[in-house]
Amino acid sequence: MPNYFGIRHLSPNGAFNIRRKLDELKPKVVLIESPSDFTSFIPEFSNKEVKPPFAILAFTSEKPIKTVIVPFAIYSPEYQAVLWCNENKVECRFIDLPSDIVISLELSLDEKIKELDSKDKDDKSIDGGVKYNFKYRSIYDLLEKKYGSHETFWEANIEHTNNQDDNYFEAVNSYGAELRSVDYLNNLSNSNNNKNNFDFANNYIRESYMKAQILEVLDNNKKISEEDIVILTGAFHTEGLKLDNKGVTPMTKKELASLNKLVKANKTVTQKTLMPYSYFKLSKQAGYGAGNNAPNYYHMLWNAINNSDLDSIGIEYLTSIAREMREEGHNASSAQVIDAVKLSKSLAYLNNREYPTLLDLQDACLTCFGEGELGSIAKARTITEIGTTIGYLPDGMSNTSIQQDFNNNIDDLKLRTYTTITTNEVSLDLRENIHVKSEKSAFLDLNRSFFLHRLKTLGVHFCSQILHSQDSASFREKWNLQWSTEVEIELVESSLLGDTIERASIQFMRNSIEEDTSISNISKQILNSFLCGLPEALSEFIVIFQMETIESKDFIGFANCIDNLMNIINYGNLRKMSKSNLESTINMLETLYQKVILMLDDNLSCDDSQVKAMIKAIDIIDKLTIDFESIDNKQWLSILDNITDNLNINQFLAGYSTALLLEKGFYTPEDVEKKIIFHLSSSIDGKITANWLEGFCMKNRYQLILNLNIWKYLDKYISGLGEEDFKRVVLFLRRAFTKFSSSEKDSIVDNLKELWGVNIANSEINTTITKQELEVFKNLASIIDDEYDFDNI
Amino acid sequence: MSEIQRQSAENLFQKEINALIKAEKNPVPTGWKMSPRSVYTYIVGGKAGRTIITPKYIGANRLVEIAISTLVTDRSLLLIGEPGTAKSWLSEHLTAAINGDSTKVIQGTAGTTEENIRYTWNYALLIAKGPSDEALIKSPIFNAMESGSIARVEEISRCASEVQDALISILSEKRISIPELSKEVPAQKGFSVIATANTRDKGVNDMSSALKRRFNIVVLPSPASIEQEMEIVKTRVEQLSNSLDLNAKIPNDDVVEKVCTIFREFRDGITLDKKQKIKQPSGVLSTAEAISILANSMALAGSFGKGEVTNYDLASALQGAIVKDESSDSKIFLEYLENVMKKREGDWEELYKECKKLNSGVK
Repeated sequence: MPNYFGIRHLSPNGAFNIRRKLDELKPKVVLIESPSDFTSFIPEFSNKEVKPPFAILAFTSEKPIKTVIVPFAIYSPEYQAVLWCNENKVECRFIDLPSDIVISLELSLDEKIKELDSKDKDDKSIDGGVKYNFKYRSIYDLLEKKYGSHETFWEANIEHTNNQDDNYFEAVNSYGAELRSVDYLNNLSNSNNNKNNFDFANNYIRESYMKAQILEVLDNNKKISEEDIVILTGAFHTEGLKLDNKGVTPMTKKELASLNKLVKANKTVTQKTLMPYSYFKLSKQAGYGAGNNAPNYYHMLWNAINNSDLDSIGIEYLTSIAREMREEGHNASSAQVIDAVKLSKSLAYLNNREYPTLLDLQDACLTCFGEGELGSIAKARTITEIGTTIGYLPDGMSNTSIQQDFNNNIDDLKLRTYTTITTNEVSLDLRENIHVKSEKSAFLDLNRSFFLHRLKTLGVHFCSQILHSQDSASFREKWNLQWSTEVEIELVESSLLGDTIERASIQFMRNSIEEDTSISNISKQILNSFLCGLPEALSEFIVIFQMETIESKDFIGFANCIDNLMNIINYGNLRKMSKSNLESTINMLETLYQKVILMLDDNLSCDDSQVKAMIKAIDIIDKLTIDFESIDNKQWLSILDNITDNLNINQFLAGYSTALLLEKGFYTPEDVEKKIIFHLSSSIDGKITANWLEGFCMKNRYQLILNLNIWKYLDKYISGLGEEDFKRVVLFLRRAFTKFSSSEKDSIVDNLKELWGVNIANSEINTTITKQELEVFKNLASIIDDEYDFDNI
Repeated sequence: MSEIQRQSAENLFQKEINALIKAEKNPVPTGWKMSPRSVYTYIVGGKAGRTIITPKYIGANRLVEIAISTLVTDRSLLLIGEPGTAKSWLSEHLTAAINGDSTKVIQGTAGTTEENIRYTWNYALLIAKGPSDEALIKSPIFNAMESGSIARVEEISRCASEVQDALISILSEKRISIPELSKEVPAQKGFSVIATANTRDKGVNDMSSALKRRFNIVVLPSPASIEQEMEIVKTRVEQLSNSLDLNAKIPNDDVVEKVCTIFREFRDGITLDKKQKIKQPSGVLSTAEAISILANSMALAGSFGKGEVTNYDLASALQGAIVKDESSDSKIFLEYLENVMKKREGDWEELYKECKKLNSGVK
C-alpha cells in the first residue's frame, strides 16, 4: 500500500511532520494534491530568490475571468514536501485536476445550479418530497459551538500534538474520516440542495482523477512499488484515495476525455503563473485550505515546532503584543506580559489543553492589556497575528492575471495605439454614440473612462486626467496616456489586490476606507466608485458611510458629501447607473439632508476663518432643496428664517441667509428693509452690524444698491454714530464694500447724491484712497487689530 | 419557607454546591472548595453526579472561563459593564462556589472610607485598653486575607479615589500593616478580590490606571440576541406586575419586541439589520431600564388608561427614558424617528406618530 499522509493545508505541524516522515521513509515518488498542470513549476519552488508566501495561479483570459489560486506559506506541508523532493532529487508530482478542468466544471456547474434552482422555485412540489430528520449543521458550526472557534479545535488537537510517532497523522486522519462521513450524511439529508449535490460530485471527480494519477505512476514504472510512493493530500481525501476503497473508482480515459470535451465546449483556456502573495491576503481568504486567519502567528508556531519549544509561543505572542502597544504609545509592561502568560495557561488548563491556543492568548491579551476592550490592542493584534510579510518572486517569473486583464482591456477599448512611451492625449465623449450599431461601440468612450478611472484609483501611472475648467461640459473627459516599465511593475503589485483591474480597484478603495473612515475619504471613495463604474462598490460604500459617520459632527464634511452625491445623481444617467443604486443614493441624500439641517444650529457660531466653508455648505444645501423635488424645503426655509435675526451666531451667516431668502422670494424687499433697520439699530455692536452687512453683500449687492430706503437708514445710522463708534465701524464698513465693482460703487454714489440733494460729478465722491487716508485706516486698524484681521485693507 | 427577604447565593444553592464538592475529580486550588472546572459548571450549568446544576449566568461562557482563570492565577478580577449586565450577580456566585461564602462584601459608595477597606477600631475598647487585637475591627478584605478567601468590592468606581488607592497597596503587597500594633498581616493563599464597576453611569469616579493594572478586567456584555433580551424582559415584567399590582395586562410580545428593538438599537448605535448607524443618547438604555419602562407604561395604563398598554403610553415612557438631556437627546431621538422608525415596515406607524407628537417642539 502506498504511504498516505492526510494533512491540513497551511498547518505548521503538518509541514514539520511531513518532512520528518519523508526523511524516515525516503520514498521514490511524492504525489501532492495541487493542480497537475502545475507540476512543471515544481523546480521553481526551490529557486533561491523565491520567498514564500506565493501562490500558483491559473486564470482564464476570456471573460468571465475565473481563477484557481493555491497559496503556499513557509508552513505549508505541500511546500515543505516539494522542497524536500528538490533537495533529495526525488520525483514530485501534483495530481489534482488540471486547472482548465476545474474552471470548466465550475462554469458548467454554476450554470446548472442556477437553472435547477430557478426550476425548483417554479416547481413547488419538490418541497413536499421526502424529508430527512437528520438536521445537518456545518461541522464548523458544531466545532464553533463546542470550542469557541474551529480554529481553536484544530490548533489544540492537531497543531499541538507531540511530535513522536504518527500522532499528528493519526489525529488528522481520524478528523478527515469523520468529516467525510458528516459530508456524506449532509449530502443525503440535503439532496434538495443543488449546490450541495454538486460540491459532493466535484469532490468525487477530483478523487477519481487523483486515483487514476496514482495508478498511472505505478503502471508506467514497474520499478516503483506501492511502498515507494508518498501521497500527500487534505485529510478529507485520504480515505477516498486508498486503492482498496471501492467507493471511488479511478477515472477512465473515456471519463477524462469527456471532461476535456467540456473544457473545449466552454472554450476554457487557462494561463498559468506563480504570483507573490502576502500574509495579509492569506488572512483575508476564507474557507478551508485557502487561507488562515493568523498567518504570522502560524509562522511563529512553525518556528516553535522546529525548535521543539511550544511553550515559547505564548510568550513570543504576548511580548510582541506588548512591544507593538508600546510603539503606539500605550502602556504595556513586562509585568502585564507575565500576568497574561499566566492567564492564558490557566485558560488552557480549564479547557483541558496542554498549551494555550491563539484564542486563549487573545483573551489573555484582551483581559490583561486591553482592559476588556478591543480598542487599544486591535492594531497590535493585527500586526502580531497577520503580520506584514510579503512574498517575493524573481523578475520574469510572474505573469499575473491582472497584467492579462490590462491587455485585454486595452484591446477591447481600442487603446492599443495610445500605449506608447510618448504621451498621447485622448478626448472622451461619454454620451451614447448613436451613429454606431453595437452597444459596445456606442458606449466605448464611457467604458474607456471607467477603465482609466480604475487605473487612476489603483495608482497605475498609465494615465492622468487633464482636469478642465468647471464650465466645460461634463460629458467630456481628457486624459494623457503613457506606457512605461513602471506601469508594468505597478500592475503586478496591484495583483495582490485582485485578479482583475476591476476587482483590484474595488479592493483598493475598500482598503482606503478601512484605513481612513473620515467622512471626506468615504465620500471620496463613493464618488470614485461611481466614476469607475463599480455599482456594487458604490452601494457597499454607501452602507459603510452610514455606519461610520453617525457620530460625526463634521457639518462641512457632510455638506461636501451631499455635493458629491448630487453630482452622482445628476450624471447617473450619463454613466449608466442602475436604478437601485440611484434610489439608494437619493435615499442617502435625504438622510444626510435631515442630518445637516439638524446640525446647522450647532455650527453657526463658527469663527471667521470657517465662514467661507460654511457659506459653501449652505449653498450646497440650498442647491439640494432647489434641485430635488423629494426634499422638503419648508424646513430649510424656516431654519434660515430663524438664523437671520439671531445675534448669537456668526453675523456673516445671518446676513448671508437674509440675502439668500430674499433671492428665493421668501422675503420681500420690505422684509429685508426691516432686517436692515434692525441691524442698524444703535444698540447693536458696530462689528455685528458691519459683519452682517458684509454677509448680506456677499450674495446680493444689487438689491442693496437698488433700495434707496436702505441708504437712507444707512446714512442715518452713520451720522448717528459717536466719534469712537465711528472709528470702529468705518473699518468694518469699508471692508464690507471693498468687493464692489466700480460701476456698483457709482450706483451707490448716485444714491447718496440723491439722498444728500447734491449734484456733483461722481468722481468727487468715488475716489481712490489716498496714501494719507490709508495711513489713518492702518492706525485705526492697529488699535483694534487684536479683534480683527485687517490685512486686506 | 425562610423569613429572610433575600438569601445569599451559597444558601440558595447549597445543594448544588454540595453535589459539586462531592463529585469533585479534579485538583482543588488552595483555599478553594472545588476545582476551577466545577466552579465553571456551577456558573454555566451542567451536571454533578445526578444533581442538575442550574445555569446562573447565561450567555458569554467564555467570559466566565476568563474570570475563573484569573482567580486561579491569584490576580484580582474586575467586572465592568453597563448597568443591568449581572456583574454583582456573577461576582456573588463566583465567591459562593469558590469559598462557599459570598458575604465578604464592601459596598462602594461616595461615603466609603479607607477604614472600610482596611480596618477600624472599637473606640470604647481603644480608649479603655489602648490598641489591641481585641479592639481591632477588621474589614471584609482583612478577613478574606486572613482566611485566604475572596472579598468582593461592589461599585468600586463610586468610591473616592483615595479609597480606591488604598486597594492598590493591598493588591500588590498582599499584606496589611497595622502600625498601631506594630504588626503586619500577610494574605493567606487563595486571597483575591472581585470588584465590579459601572462604565456608563454619570457621577462615577474614574479608576486610576495604577489600580486598573492590578486587576484582570472582564467586560460583561448586554444580552447577546434580541430573543434572549426579550425573554429576560418578559419574565421580569411579569414578576414585577405581580408584586406591584399594576392592574394592567402584561404587554404582548409585539410591544416587548418594539421596546427591546429600540433599546438595543440605541445601545448598539446601529439598527438590528446592521444597515444604519444611529447616534446614541446620553442615558444608559439597559435591559433593566427596558423592564422599568414597560412596568411604567403598565402603571400608566392601569391607573389612568384602559388597562392595556397603548402606543401613547409607550411613547411617553420612551420619551422619558431616551430624552434625558433636553436638546441633544431629543434631536437624537428625532433623527431616529425620522430615519429609522418612520421607514420601518409593520405596525410601527402608530408609535412613530405618538413619539413624534411628544418630541415635537424641537427645531
